[in-house]
Amino acid sequence: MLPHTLARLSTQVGSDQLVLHYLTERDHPWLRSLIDEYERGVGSKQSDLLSRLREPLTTRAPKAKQRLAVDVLQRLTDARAKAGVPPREARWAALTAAAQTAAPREEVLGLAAEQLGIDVESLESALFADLRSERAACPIPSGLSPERIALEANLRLVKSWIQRARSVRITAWGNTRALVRQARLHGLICNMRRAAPVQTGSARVAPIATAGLDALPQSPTEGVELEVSGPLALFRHTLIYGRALGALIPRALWCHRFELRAECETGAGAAMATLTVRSGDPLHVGRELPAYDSQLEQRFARDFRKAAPDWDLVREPRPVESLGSLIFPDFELVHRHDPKRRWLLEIVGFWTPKYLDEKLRKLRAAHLEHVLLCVDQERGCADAELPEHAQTLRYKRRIDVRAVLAIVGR
Amino acid sequence: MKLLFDHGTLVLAEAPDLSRKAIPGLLWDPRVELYRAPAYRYAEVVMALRSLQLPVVDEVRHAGSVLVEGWHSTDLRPYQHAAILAWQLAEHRGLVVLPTGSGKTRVAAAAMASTTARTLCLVPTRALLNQWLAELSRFYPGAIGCLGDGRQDVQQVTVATFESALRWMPRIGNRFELLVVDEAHHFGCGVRDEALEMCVAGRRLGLSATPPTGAALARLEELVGPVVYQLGVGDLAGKWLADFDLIVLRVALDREERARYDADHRLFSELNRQFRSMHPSGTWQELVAAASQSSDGRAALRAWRRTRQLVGFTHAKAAAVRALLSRHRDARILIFTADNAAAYAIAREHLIMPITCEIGRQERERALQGFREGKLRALVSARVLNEGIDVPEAEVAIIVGGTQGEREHVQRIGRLLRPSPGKRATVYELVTLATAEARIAAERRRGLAATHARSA
Repeated sequence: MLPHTLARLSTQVGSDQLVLHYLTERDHPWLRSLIDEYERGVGSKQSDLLSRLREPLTTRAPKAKQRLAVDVLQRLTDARAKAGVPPREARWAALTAAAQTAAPREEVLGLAAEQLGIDVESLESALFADLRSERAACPIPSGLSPERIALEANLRLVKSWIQRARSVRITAWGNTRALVRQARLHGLICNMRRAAPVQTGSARVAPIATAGLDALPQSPTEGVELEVSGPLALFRHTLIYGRALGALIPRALWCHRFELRAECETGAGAAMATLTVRSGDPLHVGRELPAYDSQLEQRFARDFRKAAPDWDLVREPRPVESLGSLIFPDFELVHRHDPKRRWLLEIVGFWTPKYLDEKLRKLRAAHLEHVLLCVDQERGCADAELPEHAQTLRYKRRIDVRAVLAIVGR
Repeated sequence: MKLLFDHGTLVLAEAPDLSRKAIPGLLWDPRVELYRAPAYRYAEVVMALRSLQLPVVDEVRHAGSVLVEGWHSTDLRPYQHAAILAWQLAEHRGLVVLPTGSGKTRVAAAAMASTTARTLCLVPTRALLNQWLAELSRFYPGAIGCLGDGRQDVQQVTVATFESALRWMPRIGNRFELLVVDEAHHFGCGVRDEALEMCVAGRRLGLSATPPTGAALARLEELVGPVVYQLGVGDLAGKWLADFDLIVLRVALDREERARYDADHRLFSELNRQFRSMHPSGTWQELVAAASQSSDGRAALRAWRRTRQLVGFTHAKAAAVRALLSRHRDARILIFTADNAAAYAIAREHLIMPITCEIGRQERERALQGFREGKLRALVSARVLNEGIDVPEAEVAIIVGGTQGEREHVQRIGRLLRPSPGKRATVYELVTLATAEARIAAERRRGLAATHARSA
């Protein structure tokens, strides 16, 4: 997490709003100078170089933004320099040799170097080469541009504030499933509602949508509104969910469109203020999310497509609204020649009879008849405990596509 | 009505309207439309529901009740017996305060054996994690779980670092009946408290050599229990702990250092004077918060940090370390510094093994073992060796600098007090004259003397 002072320096804290001073194109000239300065110092002690980079540059730079950029640069170049001999071995050889003799330092190093079969200079440079605060600055990774540093810095700034949030409200359209899963995975309380659909003409679809996750993504005009907070947040303001809330940002960035509002603490015991982030803000979009949540899903999709040419497999179909909440099935199976023949398929990992009962109750309330639950026979309960009338298929490590087809083909 | 564990909290499902009932910690959670309470109030909630004669199915505990048996008998010293007894009489809740080297882990093992309860032990560092695992395995033959340092294994007896516990407690907070908190003084004043809040264990044992005071102690009493037993170094020195000599070496800044120090100190003193004139009883945190608002204030804080760094390892201190290492050529020595930079500078010059947070587990263990066997003559560390690490072979300590005040000082000296036949430890404290360090050092020595006096 970014130090709070640094986050505050890059933010205008109003009476009830936080306005972030994003790094933009106007900052690119001094960011270029920063990169040049770093490149000149490659090989010197990294901590010294970073201190130097925090001093004024040849191109004038806003102080707070410069410190933020140096912080990002440090993270992006934080690789270990290669040493002639593994530093741990070098340390052990030199330091144990020193304990056995009262000889001068140079002599001890000479003995240790001889033992390791290297020269004294290599031994000296290897001694602490792996330790973060002692290591040498590594070359800048290829492709690291001022733009990339600016976008990364902005993302770090946003995450840093979100990590100080009490609760987060996200309205997102398209590719929302990963966002919801992420929230639930971290044990956050996630209240969901269907969001008002976006008018197609006015929908502002971010460029990333063209490189979408699925062949058949959710409609970018349909969305959900999530209100996310942690269980303990009921009793007092807590920062322990910061990491989980911060992890929502990269997921939100992969939605077709989103708006996030977070209630953030502006200082220890200080008032709360609202931070608003939306698609279109200059933030670094991280690696593309994996197309499937698990290998199991991926393998099932591959097997099914191969074995059932008459069926289309829709990943992440529309969420189903039931009893005030949304259910996100894993797949929808649609018969190509008879589109009325549709099945929702959900893969259930860890389960209990109560959990399945509740799930089926919700599905029944949504008047869904063609639902198939695939349950892991190694991670659940006994056969007898399966809910009555449940359309279930047990699997062990791999879902049997022929068994699925036997059920949906009836 | 059902009482359930939910991510570090308790929820009451299918409950009637309880808004007019006095149930400790229970609040209505409109997000899920259920009553919710912090997990650490489990016993109080259950008792209140029973006293109200409300029928409740308790599904909080994971896997019902299990007895953890098979503990080997533990040979306890008289004061360790007394500590256990005091804790038992306090209904298995409370803080046992014993000096470093007096065998607190053994007290914990005896507590676990006496309760046969599923136990989670919390320790502050990865180094201590491994030490606890090794120590507990001497008394408990079963599998011991471990959370931290890259390991994720939960057993009926599990040891976890504070950080891992914080991450795991929402999932495992209902699996243990006994919570043992080593170096418990780290709790009571911060975000880590939530690790204790998210656990339902009613029996709690805190261990510390330096309990907190004021609000932090009050909070710790709420989360772990009151101080139930306390002894100091003076009570045990001579028989159960080694005696020691504390020698203060006063050193001066050279001319160039003095000029830098005075310039930076003036800058900070001015800020401090202005702040104190407006907020005579303002805290350090308030001063920092106020100073951060202006560029002058931030410059003054940077100047203050520079003075600390300078005083932490001056040329004269470097020379003193050189002389002391030469003088105690054949002794096993621990060197404590204010920061990692000073530790590495000493390590580089004298070819001494640094033990810092950047040194990995395996190498650290190898180094400690090497120190015990005499393969390494000295270790230098900023913080890692401060607490808990067992190095009974150490005879000499050189305190080059410190940042944490009296508590750190007591803990560091404690490293040398593990007894061995004929051992008398020597502690050198290097203090820079006419700097803020001189005052801080005097305060921490007074604190140490007070600790002796209190226990005597």
